[in-house]
Amino acid sequence: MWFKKNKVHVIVWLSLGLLVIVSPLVYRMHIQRNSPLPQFEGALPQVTTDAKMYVDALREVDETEHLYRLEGWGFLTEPVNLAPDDYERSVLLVSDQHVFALPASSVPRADVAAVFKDLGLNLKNAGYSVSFNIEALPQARYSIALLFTLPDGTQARLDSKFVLDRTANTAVISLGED
Amino acid sequence: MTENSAQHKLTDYLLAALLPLLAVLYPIVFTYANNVSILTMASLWRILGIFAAISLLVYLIWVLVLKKKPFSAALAALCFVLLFLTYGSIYQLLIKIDLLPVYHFSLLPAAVILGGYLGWLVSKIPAEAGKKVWLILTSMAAILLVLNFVKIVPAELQKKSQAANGSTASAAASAKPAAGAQVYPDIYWLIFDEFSGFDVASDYFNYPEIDQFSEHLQQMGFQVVEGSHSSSYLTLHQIATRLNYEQLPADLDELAYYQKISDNKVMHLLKSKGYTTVVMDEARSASFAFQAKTAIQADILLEDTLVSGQAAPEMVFNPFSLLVAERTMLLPFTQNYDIENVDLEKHRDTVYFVADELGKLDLPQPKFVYSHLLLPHMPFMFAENGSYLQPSAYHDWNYYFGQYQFTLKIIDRTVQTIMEAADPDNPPIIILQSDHGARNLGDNGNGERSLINYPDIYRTSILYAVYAPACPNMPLTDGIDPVNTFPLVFNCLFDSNIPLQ
Repeated sequence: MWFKKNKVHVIVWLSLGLLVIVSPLVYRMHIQRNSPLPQFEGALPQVTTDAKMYVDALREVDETEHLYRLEGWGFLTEPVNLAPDDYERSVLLVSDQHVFALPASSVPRADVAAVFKDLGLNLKNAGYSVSFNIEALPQARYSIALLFTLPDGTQARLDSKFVLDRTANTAVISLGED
Repeated sequence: MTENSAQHKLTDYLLAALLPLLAVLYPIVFTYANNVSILTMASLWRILGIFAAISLLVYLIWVLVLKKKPFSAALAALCFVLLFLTYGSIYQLLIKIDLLPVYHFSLLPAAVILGGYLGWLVSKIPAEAGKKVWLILTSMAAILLVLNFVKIVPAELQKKSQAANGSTASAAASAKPAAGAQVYPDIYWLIFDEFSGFDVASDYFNYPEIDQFSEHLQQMGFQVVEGSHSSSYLTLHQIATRLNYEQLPADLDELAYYQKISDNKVMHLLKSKGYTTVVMDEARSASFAFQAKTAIQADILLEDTLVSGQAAPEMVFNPFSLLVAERTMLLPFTQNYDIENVDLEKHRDTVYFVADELGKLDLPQPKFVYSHLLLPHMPFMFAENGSYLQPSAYHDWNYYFGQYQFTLKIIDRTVQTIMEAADPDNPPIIILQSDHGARNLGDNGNGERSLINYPDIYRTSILYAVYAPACPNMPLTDGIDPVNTFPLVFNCLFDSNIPLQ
């Protein structure tokens, strides 16, 4: 009887709840299941002291495609004969539940090369950049690290001081707490 | 009797439509009233038309649903119109609260359903009571509109009067022949809006290459002034100050600065010396600047003649329309505004016109050319290499420096073009300046992202370099106040003895 009397109200409010609360969550789950970011399998490699890195910015590059780009620079200081293009770099996003490894592409950074010229390294392409669909990144706080994979397969990582906070609607980087 | 009754009914239907119509017009008129000194009436009509059409369409739908109840239909339409007008703000609020993911694909239909539902609830109000509520709300909306017109009308009249004065003086100025002063060199005053001083590029943006650019200018014969600061970071104030070599208060109304810039001491003196005055003022012509600005009294106004080379079809939204539309249900349709936007095309073409054509203009000499480019000012649409950025970058200060580096190339090209076309026996005077430095006006609730740890002092650090072979002893000291820009030139060329400040 009550339902019959209030049918319209019930249907309207249920529809509103479905649209505003349920459908965005379902949509995001769908993306995270079907287009997941590459996970890093196994234990994280040892932290190296023979490397340097920095995170410059996280930028939205395509609002429609939800595409973000993380930019910075990072390189190994040992062995000295290797330039950044001689090994692979991936950005590690490490949270309590996930570790994502996003393959980075090289970016020319004359400014970095100028600052570290005393190291005697070829740092022409010391910059890195990774683009990824932000919708595929689950909500969490992520530490940002750089993973170096040498030609012989050995791996090392360097943790930055930066964290990426992915909330329901935003993604921002900041200096993490010590 | 029946005819009378039908006429009466028709009047009711037309009258009832006033409520949704006035309600939808109010935010546009309110926003315009608050920006009346920088906008022109022309920016109003399109968005007014779109909003009016939407409100009337909604009203018509409710008239069809609620047959024979025009005032109830108007109230029901008002419910939808209110949701239409506030949708963008609600979306931004939900993003800010950040509890759940928010997407237009789900929020927009929810808002439409809610609008229909509220309209249906309101339609239950008895017809007589509905008419009374309609009367009260319509009166309120009308009063609010009138209050805004009280602000708009005097400002429009003042703009009209300043424009009329400007065109009369301009016609008189151009009637005078520019003869008898050929010995004077051409003078180029090139303003690059928002261009930070070299110290900021080097210290904040960690760009050591800026020293090479500075050396490059010096090799060409420029004197580069280090550590010069503007007295404010307000464009109009700075230009008015320099064009009248007088420290004006920084808190005047825009209309007062328009007057001071339009009818200025510098161009009066140059006219008296026989100069042809040429102006390319993007601060007036660009849609994202001061559209209501009075034209400068000059012989030639280039900004009025420059037409975009690849004129795109007119777009629905101009910057004012965008400002209004972003608060409404039109928000999802405003998010992909890119370089196809005719206003940005015009800006791009103006930039390249200054770089490649300004120096080649064949005009009676001597000439004074004032160019004010909104570069590297927002929108940040150019990357370092001149490629176009996505709209998401336009208001993100993290892209400022890429556009700054692009501006360095434009400055170089502009100077090269001028030098190549110049008479080697009477080389020009070229003044490179910015009005103020990078202001980093982010985080103001409009989705702008700002630079981190950006010191306030950098906001006034400016570009200041002068090429003046005719004035080898110009006392250009580091840190000199740019109010002295023209006294320095005039004292050298005309022995004007204007005291420096």
